[in-house]
Order: sequence, then structure tokens, then C-alpha cells
Amino acid sequence: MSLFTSQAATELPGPDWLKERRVLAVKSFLEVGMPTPEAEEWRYSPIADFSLDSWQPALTKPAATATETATSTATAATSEFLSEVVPDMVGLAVCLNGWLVYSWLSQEAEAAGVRFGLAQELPPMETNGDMFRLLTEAFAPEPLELVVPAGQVLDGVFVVAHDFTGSNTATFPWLTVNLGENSEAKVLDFTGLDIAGQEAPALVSDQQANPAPASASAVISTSTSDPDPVFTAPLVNLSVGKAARLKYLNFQNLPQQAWQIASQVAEVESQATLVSSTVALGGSYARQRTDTRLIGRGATGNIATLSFADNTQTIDFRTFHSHIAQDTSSQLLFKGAIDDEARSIYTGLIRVGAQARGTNAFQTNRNLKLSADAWAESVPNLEIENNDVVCSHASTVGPVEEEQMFYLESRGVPPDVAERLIVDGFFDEVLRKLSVPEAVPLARLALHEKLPYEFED
Amino acid sequence: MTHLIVEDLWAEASGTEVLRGVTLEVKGGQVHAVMGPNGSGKSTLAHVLMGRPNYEVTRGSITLDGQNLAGMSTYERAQAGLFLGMQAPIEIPGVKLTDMLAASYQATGRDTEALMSDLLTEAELVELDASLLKRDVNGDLSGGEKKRSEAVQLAVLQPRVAVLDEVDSGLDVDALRSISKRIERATQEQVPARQSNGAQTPADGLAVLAITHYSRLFAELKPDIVSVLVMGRIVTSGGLELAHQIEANGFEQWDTPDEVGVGIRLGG
Repeated sequence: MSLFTSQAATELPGPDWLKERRVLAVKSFLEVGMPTPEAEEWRYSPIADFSLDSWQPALTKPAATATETATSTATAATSEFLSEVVPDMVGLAVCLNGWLVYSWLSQEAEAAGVRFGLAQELPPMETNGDMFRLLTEAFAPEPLELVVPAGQVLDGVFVVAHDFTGSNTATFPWLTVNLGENSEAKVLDFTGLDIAGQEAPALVSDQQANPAPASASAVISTSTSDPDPVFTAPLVNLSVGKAARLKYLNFQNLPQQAWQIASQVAEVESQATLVSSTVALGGSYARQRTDTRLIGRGATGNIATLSFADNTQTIDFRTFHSHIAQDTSSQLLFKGAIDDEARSIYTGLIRVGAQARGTNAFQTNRNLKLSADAWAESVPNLEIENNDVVCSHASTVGPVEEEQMFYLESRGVPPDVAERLIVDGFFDEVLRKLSVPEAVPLARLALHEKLPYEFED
Repeated sequence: MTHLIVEDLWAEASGTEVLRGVTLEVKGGQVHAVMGPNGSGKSTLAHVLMGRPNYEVTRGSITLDGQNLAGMSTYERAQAGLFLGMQAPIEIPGVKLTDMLAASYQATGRDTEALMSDLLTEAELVELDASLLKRDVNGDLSGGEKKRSEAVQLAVLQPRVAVLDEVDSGLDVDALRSISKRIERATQEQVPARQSNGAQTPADGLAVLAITHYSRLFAELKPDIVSVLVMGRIVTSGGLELAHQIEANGFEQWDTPDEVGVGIRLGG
């Protein structure tokens, strides 16, 4: 018997308008029902294995003790981040099971009139056929918002950190980012940040110019001591006003037992720029669907995404990029490594509308197969309704090149080190393009945990 | 003393027999040139010596100071003191030359502290622009720059035996001169052996096995021995005069399978 009922949704707190939306959302969800792998956007996915009945929504704020622990460690994490990983943090929101347990805003951001915390308004829901968005609309306990007023340029980073706890808990984080005309902001959104700060295996940082601080390994280490499976369906709405610049990065480092069905919906107005990135590392099945609409003339919407799946993980990207206005441009770069028996799915559709003359659109998906049993499906597509456009797409799936291994080994580099150098090299291009550079050392650290190797002293 | 001995080496590439009983040797301080026409097995010989996968040794032995290399993987051969200068060095995207060499140093227990200054010194000797050292391995380098980079790598890695596969191809006269001079010098430098297994070997100059089609290399890098490889076998050996003879008459005189003799084991 499903616990995702209207009755359950009404138990969540919030203003009346939010409660009304929840009830309607449950109704819509029940009408439409669960997706099946027959639907094109769920093809290749293990969605048939998913049963909502085995999960329960997080209807109450996690118990006081857990919250206190989370809050105090979050505070500790705050100072760590402030001083080391994100020295220029301007705001922090920490959530446990989708409930806000800690928030902080810098004086600079406050003076700029920034709103960062519980949402006072939410955009209309556009499911685009993704029913899990309705589930999030119904069961997000405390939707968050970041609103930057027109003309305000924030140089620092807004950090959102989600952790999850409990057994068979389903969680529904919802973040809305709204940039006013000609404003600028950076957002670093962690999914599965281990804010309990567990002990991580000691790592010897390599010779990269920008190593992660030692404290990061404790925070960034994928949680293995908490085997309770969680399910999360995070929803992110990004709205970039005229001539505004938003850099958004989702750092997904869930435990390998977790299921994630994530959505990102973005709209970019004229002369505005959105650079969106995902670093996808965790999850048993971790899916992210992005729908980006370039609605104003001269809008830019770029994506740079990195993923590494190992063991029996499946990492799944579905991207829908719509060029609606003229002179819009997009550059999509998805690079992923797959090891062991892991699976990777990429399907990307670039639509160029009849009005979108002068479109520039480039879509690239490259997959590095590190094991013969790993599997990748890559399906880039173009749908063009206007002749005056420049579009291209490329996709590759292949192993580490034998001649590259041979070259490195002929210089005396042992095979495991050679492979790590080549994998690092493969990711170098996308690391340099990540929207929030503060995440790069963390991404490198997490990649090295996936390919463990320590240099001899 | 460095002493590489190849004895009755037979090898297949993709199921085709390419080497058919190669026997040769080279000692520290010597330059042994192996000349041969296209398709004679020159490149196969270079790759088989370095242990490239997909080349199968079916018979024979490769020993370096009594250590059998034939059963070793490529990196172990490199750590034992073998170096391969590639004919067409490939680009490795995202992998910095300095990171590759640092990994090599660390794998053999060498201190990486001096790596950068060593690289700068060597780059100057072969006239490689120092800014190119910071790039990816062979990243956006011209043909000549790639070969200069190979020479820089050879110089800092300090192998005991360098197998040079068509080092002269794609090089202008100036590049050929500076690279050859550097290699020539390495044959005279007494470098203590560096071995991953900790074994002690007396200092010796570099042993060079220069595999080439043309004799233009020998204007700067004087060979002590010239051997001719035809149809997967060494058909004759001699001194520099043999190279001049080939320059004048080509390889035709050995170009019929029936006349292929047995490998000639060189004395000395």
C-alpha cells in the first residue's frame, strides 16, 4: 500500500498555498501513474525495478537528537568550508531529508537583498512527462529558494548541502534559484554530502596545482557506514533573468545503495548565461533529467558534466535543450567513466525551434570504458526546424587506448598509475569547464577514491 | 657493463610472422644501427624489444646483463633500463609530460625534486622551447618538437639501452643534429645503473640501438656497428662502410627470400 497519499501530503507543514499545491500534485501523480521503460525517456533504465511502495516519505523533521548532531556538525562543516573548500562562501543551507536544519547568509548577500531559505513562492510545475516532479511538488517538506535581486553581483558561492538518514526513506528536496535582470551568482548544490563528517581513508594528494584540503576527504567521502537505502527525487528550478549570469553545480555523492531521480528545469532569458554542471558519483541508480529552455534572444545555456560509475552503479543523464529564441547558443559536454559492471546512459536532444535562427549548438558525450563488463549507451539527437543554424553532435564509447598505455609504460610508469593518469587526463577537459571551480579539487579527490592509488614516497 | 643480447628472436604481429630469428647485441657506449627496407620488421623489432602487447614472441631471448626481459611487461623493461624512442610519438590528452615523468621517477624511487630543473637543462640542449614542457604529452607539438621531447625524456630518464625507432623521420637538419649530439653524449656519460630491483650495476654509457631506413642519421650519430635487417633477419653486419654501400645501392642485393642467411652473431 503506497504511503504517498493526499492524506500524507497534508501532514507536511507550510503556508496554505503550498498545502493546496501538494494536494493537487498528489492527485495529478495518481492520475498519471508511474513511468515504464517503454517510454522513450525511460528507455535503458531500471525503472521497472522501482516500487514506490517500498519507500516512505519523510513526513516529519528528523528527530531532535539527529538534528542537533547534524546542526552542530553542519556548523563545523560551515567553518571548514569557509576557510578551505569554499573560502568565498556567501550563504549556506544544510538540509536533512529535505528539511532545513541550518542556514546562514553573509552580510554582503543580506545587504544585496538576497533571499535564501524557505521558499516564499514557487514556479509553476512543468512535468515534461517526468512524474517524479509531481511527487516532489507533493512531498517536498521545505522547498528552498535563492532569489538575487536585479543588478546584484555576488562573487561568492551559495552552498546547499543535502544529507539523508533513516531506513527506506524517500526524500524530496526542491530548490528554486531566481536571478533578477543583470545579476550574477554561483551555486554549489551537494546531494549526499556526508555532513556527519565520517572518517575517510587517508589520501595522498597528487601534484595537481589545486589540491583539496585534508578536511574535505572527511566530508566528501561516500558514506558506506550507513547502508540504509534512501530514495531521493531532487528538483531544481533555475530561472536566469535578462543579461544575468548563473553558474550552478550539483555535486552528487550519494551512497552506492541510494536511488536518485533528479530533475533540473531551467529558463534563460535574453543575453543571459547559464552554465550548469553535474558531478555524478554515487547511487545505485542515479538519474538526472535536465530541461533547458533558451527563451530570450542571445541566451546561452552550457552544460559540463562529469560522471564515474563503478561496481554495479547505473548513472543516467537525459538532457532536453530547447533553442526557442534566435541567436541562442549552447555547448553540452558530458564525460563519463564506467568501471566494473557499471552502466551509463546518455540521451540528449537539442531542439531548435522555427524562430531560433542563428542558433549555435554543440553536444558531446564521451564515455571511457575501464572494464570489459561495463556498458554505455549514448544517444545524441538533433531536431532542427530552422535552416540558419550551426549544430553538431559527437558521441564515443571506448576503452583506454592501448597505445596511450604503452607509451606511459614505456616510460616506466606502472599500469595502475598509467591508467589513473589517462583517466585524469580524460576528465581534465570537463574539470576545466565545470561551472563552479571550487568543486574541482573535490571532484578530483572523489575520482581518486574511485581509482585508488597512492604514490610511493 | 651494459650488455643487451638478442638471440634468435622470432615474433608475430597479428598472427603474421615478422621477426624470423634476429640475433644482435649492443654494449654500453656503443651505437648499433639496424638498417632495413620498408616491411623488413624494423618497427616490429623495436616494439617487441619494449614488450608491446599484440606482438607475440614465439622463440628466442632478450637479455640485459643476464636479466631475461622477454617475460617482463613493458613498464618492467623500462624500469630495468630500456627506453623506446617512438617513430611517431602519440598525444595523450590531459596527461602532462611532467606528471608522466614524475610518476616514472616515483615508480623507481627517484626523487622528483630535481625533475623540473633537469628538464629545463635538457630542453635547452636539444633546443626545445621550455614552455612546451608544461604541455600534455606531445600535445600540439610539431613532428620535430615531438622528437626533441623524446630526446629530453631519454636524457632525464637515464636508461641503459635506448631503442630509437626512426629517430630521424620527419626531422629537419638542425633538429637531427641537436638530438643526435645529445644521444652521442649520452653514450659517453657514465651513468650509474638505476634499477627497480635494487641490483647494483657498474656505471656505463648509454647503449643505442638505432633503427633506421636511411643513413642520414649517421652524419651526427656515428654507429660502431651497422646491421642489415631484411625479411625479419639480420643478413649482414659491418661498419659504417656498410651504410655507405646501402646509400649507393639500396637494399636490393638482399631482397630475395631465398638468399636470406642465418642471423650473424657479432663478436666483440
